[in-house]
Amino acid sequence: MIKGKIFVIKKRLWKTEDLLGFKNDMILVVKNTTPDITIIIDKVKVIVTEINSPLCHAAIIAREYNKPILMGVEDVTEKFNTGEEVIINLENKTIIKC
Amino acid sequence: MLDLLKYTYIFDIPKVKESIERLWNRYQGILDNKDSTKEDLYEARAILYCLGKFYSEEFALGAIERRIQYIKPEISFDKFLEMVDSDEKYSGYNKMFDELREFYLMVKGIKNREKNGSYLDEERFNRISKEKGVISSHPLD
Repeated sequence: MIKGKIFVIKKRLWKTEDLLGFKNDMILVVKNTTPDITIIIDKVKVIVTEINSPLCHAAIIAREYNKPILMGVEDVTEKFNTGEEVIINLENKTIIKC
Repeated sequence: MLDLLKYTYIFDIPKVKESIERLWNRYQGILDNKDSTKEDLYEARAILYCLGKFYSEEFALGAIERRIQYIKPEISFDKFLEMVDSDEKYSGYNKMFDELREFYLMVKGIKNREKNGSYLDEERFNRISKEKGVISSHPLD
């Protein structure tokens, strides 16, 4: 179980400027990642994505940087907002508000 | 695009690379050409979807999954990806490991390809498409 504050990017095609306000140890919640994620990857606690493929960019980055990832969470960027506290269960693949 | 799929079935990695570059160059050519027609832009959209999503996340995934069983000694799909991505030292695997590794790294090359500040130059594609009134939603959705 991982608990933390989330940072949500609601648009699909996001860029570096959309990461403004991302703080250390936050959980990044996105539809998918883009190569811009490398700028903050060291600060990311967990990556949560809507997309679900072992070869998607987020999955590759998570393996390269040894970061936990929760993939395939439907509409997660619509259901959650930046600043909310959540609990993530990687085994059951769930994310819930605290 | 048919060549890309065909050479992936054959698992001829140099030919797969050539096919990818040919598609990429065609895509860039369409975006660079001010006289590109709506039909050309739909072709660019097809290439973007193929390279950015269908091929890299689905077709190539299947190509690796089908062949992972031929790696000796046995290795799981997840462990294979983890070893390659973490640059873990390995030895004692057969030739199939090296071939799948080379193929996977090539696919990763697509996933990390950026141009003009966006993944697969998608931002420029979106801008040009909008200007020409071609597409109203994200091509990779």
